[in-house]
Amino acid sequence: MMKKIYIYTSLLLLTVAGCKKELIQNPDNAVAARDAFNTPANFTQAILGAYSGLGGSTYYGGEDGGSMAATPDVLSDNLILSSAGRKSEQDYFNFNMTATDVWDLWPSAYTQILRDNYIISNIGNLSDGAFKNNILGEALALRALAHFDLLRVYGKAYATATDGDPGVPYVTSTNPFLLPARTSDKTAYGLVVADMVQAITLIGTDNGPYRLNKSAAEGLLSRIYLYEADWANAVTAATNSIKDANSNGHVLGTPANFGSIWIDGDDESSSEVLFRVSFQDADGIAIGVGYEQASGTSVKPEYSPDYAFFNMYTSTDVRGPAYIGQTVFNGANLNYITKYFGRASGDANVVDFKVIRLGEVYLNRAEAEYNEGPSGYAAALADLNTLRAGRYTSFTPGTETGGTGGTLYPAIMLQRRLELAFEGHRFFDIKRLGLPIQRSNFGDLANGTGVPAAVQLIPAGSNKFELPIPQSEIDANSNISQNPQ
Amino acid sequence: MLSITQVFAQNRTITGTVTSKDDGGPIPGVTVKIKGSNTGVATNAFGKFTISAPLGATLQFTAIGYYQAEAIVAGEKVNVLLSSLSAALNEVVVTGYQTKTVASNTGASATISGAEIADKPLPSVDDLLAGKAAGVQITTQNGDPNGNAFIRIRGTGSVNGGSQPLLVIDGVQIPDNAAPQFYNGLNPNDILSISVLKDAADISQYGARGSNGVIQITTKKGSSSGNDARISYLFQYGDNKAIPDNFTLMNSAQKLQYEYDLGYTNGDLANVLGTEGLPQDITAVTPSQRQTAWNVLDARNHNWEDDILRTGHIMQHQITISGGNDKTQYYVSFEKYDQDGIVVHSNLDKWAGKINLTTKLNPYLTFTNNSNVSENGTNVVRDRFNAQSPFVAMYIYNPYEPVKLPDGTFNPTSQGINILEELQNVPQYDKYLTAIDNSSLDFHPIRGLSISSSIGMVLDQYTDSYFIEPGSELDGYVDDPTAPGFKQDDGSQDFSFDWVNKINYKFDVAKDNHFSILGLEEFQKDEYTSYSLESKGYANPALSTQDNSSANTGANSTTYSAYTIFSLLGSLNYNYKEKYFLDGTYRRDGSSRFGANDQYGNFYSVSAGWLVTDEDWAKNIEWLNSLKIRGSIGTTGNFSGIGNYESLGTFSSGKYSGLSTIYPGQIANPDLTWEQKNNRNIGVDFQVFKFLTGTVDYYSDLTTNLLFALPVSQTSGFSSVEKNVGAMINRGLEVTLSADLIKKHGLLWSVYGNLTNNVNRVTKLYNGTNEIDFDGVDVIKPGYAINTFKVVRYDGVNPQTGAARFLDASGNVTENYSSADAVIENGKSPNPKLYGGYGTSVSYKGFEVDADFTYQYGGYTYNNEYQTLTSWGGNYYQEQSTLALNYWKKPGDVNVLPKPSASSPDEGYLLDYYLQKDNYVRFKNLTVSYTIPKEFTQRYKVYSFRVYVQGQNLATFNPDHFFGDPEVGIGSKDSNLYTPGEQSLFSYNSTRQFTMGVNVTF
Repeated sequence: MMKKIYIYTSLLLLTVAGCKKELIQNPDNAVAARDAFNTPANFTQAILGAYSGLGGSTYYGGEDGGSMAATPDVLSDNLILSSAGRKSEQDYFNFNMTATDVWDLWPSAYTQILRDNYIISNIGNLSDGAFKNNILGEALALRALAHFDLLRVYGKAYATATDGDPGVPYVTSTNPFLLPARTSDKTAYGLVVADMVQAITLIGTDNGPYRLNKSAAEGLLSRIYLYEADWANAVTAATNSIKDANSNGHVLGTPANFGSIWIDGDDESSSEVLFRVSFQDADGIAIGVGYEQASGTSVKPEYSPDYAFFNMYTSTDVRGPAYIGQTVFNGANLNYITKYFGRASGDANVVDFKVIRLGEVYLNRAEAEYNEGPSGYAAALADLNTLRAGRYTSFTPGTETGGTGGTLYPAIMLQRRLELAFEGHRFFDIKRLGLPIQRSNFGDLANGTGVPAAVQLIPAGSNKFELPIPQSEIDANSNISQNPQ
Repeated sequence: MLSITQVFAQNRTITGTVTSKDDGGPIPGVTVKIKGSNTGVATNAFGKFTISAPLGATLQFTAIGYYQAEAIVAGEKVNVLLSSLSAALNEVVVTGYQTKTVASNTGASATISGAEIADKPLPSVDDLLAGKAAGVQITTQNGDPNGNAFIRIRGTGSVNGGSQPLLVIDGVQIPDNAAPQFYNGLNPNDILSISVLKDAADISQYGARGSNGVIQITTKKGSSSGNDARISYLFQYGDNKAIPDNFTLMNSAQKLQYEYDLGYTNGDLANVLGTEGLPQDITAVTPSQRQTAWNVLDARNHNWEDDILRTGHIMQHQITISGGNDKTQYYVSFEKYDQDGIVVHSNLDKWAGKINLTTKLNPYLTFTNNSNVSENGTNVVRDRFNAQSPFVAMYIYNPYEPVKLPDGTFNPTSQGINILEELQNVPQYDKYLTAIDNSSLDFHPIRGLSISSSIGMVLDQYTDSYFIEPGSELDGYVDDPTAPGFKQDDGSQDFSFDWVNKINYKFDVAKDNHFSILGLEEFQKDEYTSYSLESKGYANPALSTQDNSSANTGANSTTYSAYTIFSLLGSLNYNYKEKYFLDGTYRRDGSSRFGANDQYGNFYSVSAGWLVTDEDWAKNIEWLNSLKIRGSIGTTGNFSGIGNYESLGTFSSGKYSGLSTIYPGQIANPDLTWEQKNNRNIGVDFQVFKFLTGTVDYYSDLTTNLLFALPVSQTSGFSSVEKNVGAMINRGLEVTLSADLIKKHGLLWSVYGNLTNNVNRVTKLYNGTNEIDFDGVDVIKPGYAINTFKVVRYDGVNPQTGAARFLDASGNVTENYSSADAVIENGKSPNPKLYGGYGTSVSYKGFEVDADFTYQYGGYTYNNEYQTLTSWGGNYYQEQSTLALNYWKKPGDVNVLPKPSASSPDEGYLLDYYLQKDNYVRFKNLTVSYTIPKEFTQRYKVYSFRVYVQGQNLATFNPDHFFGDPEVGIGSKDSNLYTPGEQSLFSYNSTRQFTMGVNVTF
């Protein structure tokens, strides 16, 4: 009897003693912050984490709830809502956005920025050298790109902004408890340029197709300067981008190989695509869903190209068939956007997102050269012809002239619209040029009949060009002012 | 001094009879002794006793079930009348780690006997609790046979933490994630009783896990009679159908007219016009051409509900065996339960088995083992707010769209997918295996002392298999054309053990002071692992195991997560003369979930009770049979709100372009701790006039340290950090009454009812915040009930133009909708003001009729179903209810919907127009049964034979015309909402069952 009590008590004491250690449990799928930035391998993983932040669900990895691939064209005159589809983003198409029903780019972009800031603030843990410079350069470039995307959505166009107009907070800290106010538009653009310029001095020339490199960063810088209407710098940056791309083997696409870009069948080492965000089947992100979904042998479009715009692609323009397809759905003939339909083999609507490519860089330079004045017209025409040669079969160089009433400027802007359609540009181009969004009265069917857009005009300078900041930010941060609608 | 002299005074032989005050009959086995002495005698079968005592001595009479009495020896004959305690007071109640009698229980717990929930056509225990106990609000989620109900005890105690109570089965704590599966896995007919623990006296024993209350299930044990074992067979059979809608959908003619008025030509109509050589625009043809085209579509008119819903069958077989003797008792049961769901391809296939065994190894040592295993297999029907859910599809497909095309293939419809094709070709099957095994060793070395050690093991295993058949419609949409077909197998296993070591000592001091001391140490560890495998490329729809695939998708993964809790509990129960009761508990919990700075918590309770009718002066009140007043105060914690690793700052890993990445996952909070509740309760238990029994409780529970995802500026890259801030209070009144109205000549008629009034108020949020938006339609704001609705006020229609009018925030009429004009609707929240159940039971000579009702009053629901089906034109391309036809047509129209338009954005509006009262009374169950007289059946060696018919969910009284079913769960199951009653979305319809059953016992 006593023995039993003795055994019992000692068992009890053992359990009491052994249990204290068990009270510390660590997760199997996460590391503490202090262990995350020690070795070069850690930094590689971190920068790849930053790139995967670009693939955020309302950012470059968005599907049908707001994305870089679709929304800037939904908010423009390039598309018409298809009555055959699920009416995704219908409220954006009709410019009925409110702070609670709006493209939520804001949190996705800042999630990406946090990842850049962690790398930048810990970069001192690496020893000096090319590896360190490259990582720092990539992080700075990504930070600049994300802030730039935020500015072109939520801030006024640089050219028409006053010094007091608010931009977005320019965040360089990893402190999660700050409540920053909106940096002024002009100051923020300046910081974007500063980060990108610094990145270009540090970044390597080739990090593979899914990471930034010098020519990609210079290409992005030419885009940023274009938005700032800083023509001279835009020309310089574009020239550097083309030069560095060419010396790395990358050349402008030809009519023969242009189509392969969009099914990710291009030769990555020589492709005109300077940087793309990687999406693989296993990631489960299908960016084409914002435009269409295949349904057996036909396609169910969410949006079709605007009929008037569709007719601007001539029969010799290889971009026509690369971007736009024809289908019959529920008995109706429809055009649909095939740009993100998918690869030759793989899941539907899964393709990489092409962020910057030489086609755009040439157009940036042409537009900037034209705007420098009559002395630039010849160079602008030359760049325009170079681009067109790469897009039209059996092309003879054009001879457009510049100046008021001339044909050169409209030709450059037309080529820009045709080239960069459905690629995250149109809304921003209209906004920076101070133009109105004027949709046609054509319907959604392939022959232009059908249901036309409910809203066909957004006047230049309208408040609708600056999207409302998400209500959850306004609620959490009293220092943020909302954009009037 | 005096007593000693008296004892040595002359002893006489005293005789007497002890009889019962109730019916005058003799009481055998009464202990008679001289007060102060240890030796006594017992009354014989006739209530007579003989004892040796001097004149003037005081004799004490004690018997179980009776109030103690005393009498002074005045002569040689002493006759005594004993009054019985209400039988109820002697019943045993399981309250946490101890068992008490109702009389000595200072807590407010409610007990539901197994008989109240037995033999019903519902396979899950949680659904069966509806309306059965005051303070327990059960909202059945929906009619899914393997679904779960929401259980809220005394209001919603938390915002972001869990609000479900702790589940304890035969003493074993079930991990929170696994509890829903165990409600479904147990066989309700195996349950002896369920104790619902509600106030500090009982729940503080559970410390950090107790704040949402505790549901304690005790399963049946064998008998110690030594008789032959009882073998019982139950067979139940019946059917299962959806409750009819309380609204009408448009027929083809109505829908086509509506589409025409909006200028819309649907795809099917365009086809018809095209084949007739006409322009494919219904507004561009002549009226007669239009009518001809309409007639073609009209001929295809049908009701999609008829194609998608069906009558399902229910079949149950059950065998139980129970028996034993005073050394060993056993109870064994086996159940097979099959229920077809109301949607084609939906069903539940349940197996359950149990063995409970108790045996005395020797006079001091008892060994007990309770085991239960069950497997629930179910064909899953997607329950989400899009056309891939049959409960949405049947309301949004147009009535002129046929199920199948002329060539025999399924019609993809304007939604792009035919749900019947998907149910057939995209099967999803879930299996839940739950097992619990509890072994304990109890050691009683000396009288009053018991030492025990028990280990309970709990296993909850889940497997899910999802297959998109190659060639199906969905395959065409989402899969890789070079590797068609897609299979995903995933599953999880949650294994935990709960090791309790307990020592309990009961002793008396000076005869009238009864003490019970309990000391306990408990250790729990829970390990959760999961896996997910997927692959693609299936050649044959019949071969779906992954060894048939041709390509990997690369998305396979496994996870692991664990937590531990270590606890110490001390409790003291004291009573004086079984009349005055005082209890106290103290529990200390430490857990791996809590932040490093706050890892241990201390919880206490103090409670007291007074059995008033034990007072001599109270015994003279004829009509007052029993009265007890009790009160309790204490603290508990809410452990279920925190994830396993939430206090740590971490980086998570992922992949980009096939390579490993790390990225910031979580902000650190070393101060993270459980939410704490301060519980106060005061209650009265009574029985009057010998037939009316009742309990009234008033409680006030203050929750502090509420866990909030404190919003941070999204510019930080995060949206929130978990912090303990904020406070909320729940106050309420619970009333339970039951009465035996007639109890004569074999006719018994009893009624019961319970009512709970709960008022919730948020008292504090974190600094600098006045209001938190929650789910878009409601807010959390100090001074208001949790989830008080905040919506824009709708002001009808402009009679001249048909435009919709709203009130802006200042109350002025405007025709512009702005979400900034939303106002808080004080008093309107999903929390009902009153809820409960009532019922009656009549029995006569073997016939019995039982009826049960549940009700709810004072809650509101935002009715998304109503908004989707009566849009202002924005949903023109899908089916609508006939209410959508009542729109503005000409100047002067009033009481109509606004002039519809195809681009109307009203589906994004949040209006008080769709905020409806969801008051209801539901006729939950009617059972008519007949038990053949035992004298007759026992001649044929059948101990009892009972047949019954019953109906479940027979009728609903919906006084405020709620559109759809007023008993609202969380909208759709996959909706990521978790506040019951807040929003209605389309979900698995509630169902009605009719069954008949036979219960034979040998």
